[in-house]
Amino acid sequence: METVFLYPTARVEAGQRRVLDEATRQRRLTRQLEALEKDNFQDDPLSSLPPPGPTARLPAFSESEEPEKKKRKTRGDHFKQRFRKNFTTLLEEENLSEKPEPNYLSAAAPPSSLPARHFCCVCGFPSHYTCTTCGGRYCSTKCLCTHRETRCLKWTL
Amino acid sequence: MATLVLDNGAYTAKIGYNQEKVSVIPNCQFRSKTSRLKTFTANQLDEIKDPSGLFYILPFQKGYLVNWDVQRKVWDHLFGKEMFKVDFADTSVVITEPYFNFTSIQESMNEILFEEYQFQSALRINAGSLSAHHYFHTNPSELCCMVVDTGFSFTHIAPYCRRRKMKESIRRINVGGKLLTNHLKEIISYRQLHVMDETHVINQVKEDVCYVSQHFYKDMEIAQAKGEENTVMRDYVLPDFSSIKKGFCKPREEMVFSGKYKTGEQILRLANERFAVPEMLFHPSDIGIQEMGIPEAIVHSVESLPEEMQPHFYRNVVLTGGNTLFPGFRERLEAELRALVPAHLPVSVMLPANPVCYAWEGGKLLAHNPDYDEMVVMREDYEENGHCICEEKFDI
Ligand SMILES: Nc1ncnc2c1ncn2[C@@H]1O[C@H](COP(=O)(O)OP(=O)(O)OP(=O)(O)O)[C@@H](O)[C@H]1O
Ligand SMILES: [Mg+2]
Ligand SMILES: [Zn+2]
Ligand SMILES: [Zn+2]
Repeated sequence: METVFLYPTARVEAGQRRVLDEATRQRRLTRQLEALEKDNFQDDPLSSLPPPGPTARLPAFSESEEPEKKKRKTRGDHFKQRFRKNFTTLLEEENLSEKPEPNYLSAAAPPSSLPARHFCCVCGFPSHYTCTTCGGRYCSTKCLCTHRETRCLKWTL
Repeated sequence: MATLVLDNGAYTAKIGYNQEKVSVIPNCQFRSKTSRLKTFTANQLDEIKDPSGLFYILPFQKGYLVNWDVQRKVWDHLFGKEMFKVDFADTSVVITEPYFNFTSIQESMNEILFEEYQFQSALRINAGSLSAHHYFHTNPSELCCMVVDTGFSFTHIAPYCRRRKMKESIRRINVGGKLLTNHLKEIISYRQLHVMDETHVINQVKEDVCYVSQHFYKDMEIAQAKGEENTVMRDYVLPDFSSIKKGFCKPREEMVFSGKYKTGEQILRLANERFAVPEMLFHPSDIGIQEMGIPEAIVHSVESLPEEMQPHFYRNVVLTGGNTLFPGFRERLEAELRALVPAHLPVSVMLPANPVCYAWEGGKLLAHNPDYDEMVVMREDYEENGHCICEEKFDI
């Protein structure tokens, strides 16, 4: 397959070679995995509107623009607060380390006992080589070149 | 009195009265590039003519309900006059929640069902428990079953022995359809075309072209072949939402193996992506998630159960959730289990006709069950006793 890059920012100039330490490699992996949990990559179309004029009022995030017809009684601020916590906060508040198992944490599947498999981070085919700089995998000199020109050091923190 | 069954998934709500058919509706809100000020709720998605760059507002995070504003907008819409016209005072609701749901979310759920909507009665239950009920209903002679639920947020392996959920042996793998779509988006964007903003389009690509390989390394070889010998390769015509409303695969005979297409459509060329993406369900460590894949996790779960029960689980594995619709999923899982499980024990993996709605159908059966009335909490009981009555009755 011809590899064509239509994504201009994917190319960064290859700078001086340095070697990433284990902690940096781990951080990088964590960031990649976190990105896979994202709901959207782009900005909310609402927030990318041109700046409002003096009288315009933009609805806030996740609020509909139609005027609210309240059928049910509205709750106090305390109630609202409770309903706006993210996953990490809720998980912390559950205080699971002090609670009996089984629970959310104990149910996580343990690591596999099978040997790890390795794939070229450029083309996705099985790989036999490791990039000495970042620990990423590659399958051929062609893919190594692409890797070095693009991602090798790009994702460092 | 009516009973409304709602399998409240992080991706779609499976909803319907127990006398009627199920509807599958997006459980989220959307904003589009073309009408930025409007927020579309649930099936209003159909009103968006050009869903490119579609922006999602989801009530769930990692499978747990965190954004109640959005959830209530969706529920108001579902329960309201445009859709299910719920008469709350005369309706009982069966509603699903994830395994090990957090206490605070459970309490919010009680408050919203009984205080805000004021349902006459409610049964809060895990989707997997409804699936197990369904399985035992259709297979009354079986004692145990192993529910595999692989949906949007994650995958659960959940053993049931008759009505009993074997809580200690539930295993969660943090791989679901959302991660698969995002990963596909990411590798396509790196290898050929920037599609990071096109979750909706690429999710469709995933459902249209991905499959579970039966011979992984052999398929890798085929996917590397040049020209016509590459029987894995597909060219996917992307929708432009004017002349092409929905993407599709070029028929084999129209594929151009060398050179460019003369037609002006935008094409994605997919080869190893087709099976390397669903492979993460079987080998999460392929992308650095240090967890067992589904076959290994099933064995891990079964081996934690009493020995005399173990054979029953292996021959009653039932598949639910959207990811089980990848072609080859059932066959691959059965083959891998076969290889892992002692040879004298039979292995059987069942894919229902509609794995996405299998739990909902179980809920419908349960609502017709004579025991149903015993399982619900009435609104009056909640008003008198508060959360503790729900904690007693519901097994989440
Ligand atoms: N034909 C298909 N092939 C592959 N994947 C599919 C198919 N149909 C649906 N899916 C995927 O299944 C996922 C949704 O599955 P499901 O409806 O079981 O999840 P959910 O119940 O909404 O979520 P959860 O159970 O995690 O809260 C989506 O990621 C969707 O892309
Ligand atoms: Mg589900
Ligand atoms: Zn390569
Ligand atoms: Zn590198």
